[in-house]
Amino acid sequence: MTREIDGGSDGVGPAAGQPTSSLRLLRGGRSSRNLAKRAREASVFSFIAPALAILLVFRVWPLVSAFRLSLTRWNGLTQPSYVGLRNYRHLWGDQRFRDALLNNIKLLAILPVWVFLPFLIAQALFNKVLGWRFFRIAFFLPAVLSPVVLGIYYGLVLRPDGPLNRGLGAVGLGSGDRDWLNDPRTAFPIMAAILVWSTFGVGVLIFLAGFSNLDQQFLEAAKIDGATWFQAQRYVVFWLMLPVVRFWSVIILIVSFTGVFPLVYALTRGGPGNSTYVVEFDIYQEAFQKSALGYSSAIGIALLVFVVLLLAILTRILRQRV
Amino acid sequence: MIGARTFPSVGRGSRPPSLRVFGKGTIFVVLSAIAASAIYPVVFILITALRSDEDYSRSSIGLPRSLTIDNFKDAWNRANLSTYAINSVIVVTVAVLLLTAVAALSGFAFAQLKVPFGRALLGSMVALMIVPPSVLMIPIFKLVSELDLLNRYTGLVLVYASLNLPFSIYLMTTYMRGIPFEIVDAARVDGASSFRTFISVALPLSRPGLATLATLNFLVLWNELLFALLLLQTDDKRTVMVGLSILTGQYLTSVPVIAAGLLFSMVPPLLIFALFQRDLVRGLTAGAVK
Repeated sequence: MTREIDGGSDGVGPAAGQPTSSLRLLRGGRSSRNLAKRAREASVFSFIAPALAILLVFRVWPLVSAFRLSLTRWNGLTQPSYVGLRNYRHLWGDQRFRDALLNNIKLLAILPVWVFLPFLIAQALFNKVLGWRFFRIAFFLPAVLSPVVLGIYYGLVLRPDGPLNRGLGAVGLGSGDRDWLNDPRTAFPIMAAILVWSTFGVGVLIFLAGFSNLDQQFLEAAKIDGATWFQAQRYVVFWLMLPVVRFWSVIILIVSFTGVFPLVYALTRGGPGNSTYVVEFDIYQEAFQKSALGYSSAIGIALLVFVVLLLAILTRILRQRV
Repeated sequence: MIGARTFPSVGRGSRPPSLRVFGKGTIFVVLSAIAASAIYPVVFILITALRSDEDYSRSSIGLPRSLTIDNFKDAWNRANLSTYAINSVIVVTVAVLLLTAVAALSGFAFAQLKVPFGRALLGSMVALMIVPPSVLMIPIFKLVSELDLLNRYTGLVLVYASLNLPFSIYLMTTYMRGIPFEIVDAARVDGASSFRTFISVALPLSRPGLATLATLNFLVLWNELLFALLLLQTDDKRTVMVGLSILTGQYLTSVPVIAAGLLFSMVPPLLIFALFQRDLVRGLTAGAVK
């Protein structure tokens, strides 16, 4: 308070922003008021500046830069040369990109399982099934570990001479030397399963939080109206949980298109053939194996457009109708 | 949640009769099987890391006949994991501190101060969440090399600080809105500057929120692969995850040594998980239920 009465008020530094505006009003005319306002804004801005700077430099600028690079041919050493939309036209006929995109879409296609599995499990835990506290933690464990660790782990377990084949052989199942991750028929389903398995625990937590916020009154009403358990789930719980379902679906969408790189890298590197190739991996390969950085940027932009479009569609489908 | 605030919950006594439909036993068995699959990796990695090579090739499942700690020595020294671990600790710790500080500062401003165009600004920052950094790997790589920060800690630290920043700002703003306005106002009337108020009022009151944010971001960044792979390429700067994924299969052929390496890399996340489980859960569910 003393500082203020002493009138050390002309500074524009962060410290000058605080004096209460009423005092300022009493004391000064218009100019002093404007000054105080500007000083306060400067001080407020200094709180936001670091975040703004980081986001502008490492998120917004790269986005602009990606657009510009996607219109060039560039090997990373010489200057990029402008080629217009050629990269995007090339994209259309690129079989590898198509395979990759198709694999991402296949991952997204298991979204219903990805949503309902944790939904049902959370339902069971919410009803305090025996050991629910333990289950809640156990299910979450794989999500704490890096996809790299999980990828390497499953790589070891699924080797032809690995524990799975040995275990199957010991109980008389299978040939005992199957190369699970080198077989195009099994590699993709295994990768998809690992992805769902390693993330469903997060879904369980999110749905549990949703259930405990759920207003039980509606369920009571449904019960009094004679609804069966299934009907109550279908017509009451699901709709009340829709915001949570939508939230989790959005996360899954983003994960299935832009969060699979570490697992693919550690588990299969996209193989065998293109069977576990995903778009993110394609961006990486085009840029750092083939030095086609302009084309690779175009793939990045295309992926971003796909994600945004799919997000718009998804949130439309799951629009709140309650 | 509609109605959740308007009506106090009727209470846990009124549960849907779901359990009667399936039978508790069936549900319990299914859940136990899933839980076993979730815990098995940790158990398998632990046991395998303690076996000798011969023991592993004799029987990879089941209990080992003898225990050894040679694999840990090999992984730590010969496979260079000591270097990778130090790199990871440095990069991730600095990045988490930076990220938390930056998010807390702007969260405080958005929640408690009058920011010009605050709503629009916060909205656009949070909207950046839909631009996943992995689609921007080329421009980010280009930017970092132009800034001459390739193969330096600073480059990856700055990129890491930006990775989860939109969500972190959102989380901190939500949390700091929970601080009663009167408290912040009282500090101001007492003559405290905004910054002083932030340091001695807002930060102490947001300790749980800060813990949540730091825990969540530590896990995400410790486990990150893509940008670590792109931005720290020399062997003396590699992070744990990069080191593991490159070494495995190429130089490391002994499964028990790989397992020892995996185990080292899992210690910090598992420790964090054990200590800050509650904070972690709060952070993950923050966006779902407001």
